[in-house]
Amino acid sequence: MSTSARIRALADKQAIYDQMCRYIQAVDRCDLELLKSTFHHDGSVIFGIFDGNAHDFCDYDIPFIKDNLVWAYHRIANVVIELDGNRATAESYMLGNAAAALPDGNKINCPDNMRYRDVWEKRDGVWRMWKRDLVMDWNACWAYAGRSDGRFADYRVQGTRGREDLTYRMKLIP
Amino acid sequence: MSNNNELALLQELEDKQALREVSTLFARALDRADGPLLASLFADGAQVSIGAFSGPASEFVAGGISPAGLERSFHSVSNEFYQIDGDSARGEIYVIDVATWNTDGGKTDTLIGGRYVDAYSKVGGAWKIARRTFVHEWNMSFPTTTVWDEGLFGMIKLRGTRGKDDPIYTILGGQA
Repeated sequence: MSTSARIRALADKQAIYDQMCRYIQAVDRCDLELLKSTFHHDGSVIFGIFDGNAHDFCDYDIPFIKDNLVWAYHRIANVVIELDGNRATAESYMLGNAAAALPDGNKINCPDNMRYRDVWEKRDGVWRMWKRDLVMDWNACWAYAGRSDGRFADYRVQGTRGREDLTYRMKLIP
Repeated sequence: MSNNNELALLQELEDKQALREVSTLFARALDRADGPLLASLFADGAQVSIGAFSGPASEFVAGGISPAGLERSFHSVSNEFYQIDGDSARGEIYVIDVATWNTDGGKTDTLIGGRYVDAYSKVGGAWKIARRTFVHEWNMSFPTTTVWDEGLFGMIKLRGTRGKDDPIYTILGGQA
């Protein structure tokens, strides 16, 4: 491979990784437009909670998250990207943590380990997902163990859904 | 070899790689209580807001590596998102800090999930943290159930420490 092609392959993988982070930003901040920007308009997903067009999924998913989860937090790891010109396949591990409210008002804590199985396409110079499927590998339901007293009272900067989050003020999210 | 566009791509890749190393070394500095390493990661005049602390990085270094009651910590970072703008940059990094604390009458394990939201500046060719704010997302507290000396865990002889006797400092057989 030429030096030029090698640099471009690295840059392509970095661009896809950045978009994987973008997707998580969008989900954790409940930012519908940002979420849509990670998919091509003709993309599709198989998520179980929704199978079908990717932008329709986004319209469904953000209210779904707001309705069902008190908060959600997703980490990605073990990213493998296989480039094939302007298309790429990818797998990434997702280590999620979320809190849900029970009908009796108590909360539970649900860590979940899943994988995203993706097909990415570069169109007009921008990598976006053409397919993203969610594969469940592990989950747990734990009694809620969060606290806000003691040293936890010191954490004054709290992550939020919506544009009040610090990432918007820092212009990390448009 | 390459045109200007490819050199720009290469520059961005190098910048992002260097910023990842800054965030990784920040975690090492906290977990190993390595004050000189921590201090080396900040630009002059850098500001830090983490938990109870908000102020100059130079003051954060002393307290940041030795919170009262902390026995051990493990800061694991992921989702590293950087935006480069010449010699300045911004970033968001997910972090989970798993820690054991000596508390009244026992030990407590805590997990704290959040994000570092940062500004960086490139000083003399090296990326430094200009501002770091920890954004708290969630936490958990449990009574410690750690096993050190029995069974499978007891067989693992290299142990992390908060000091220069940690195995990472003796990777090539050197003395701490």
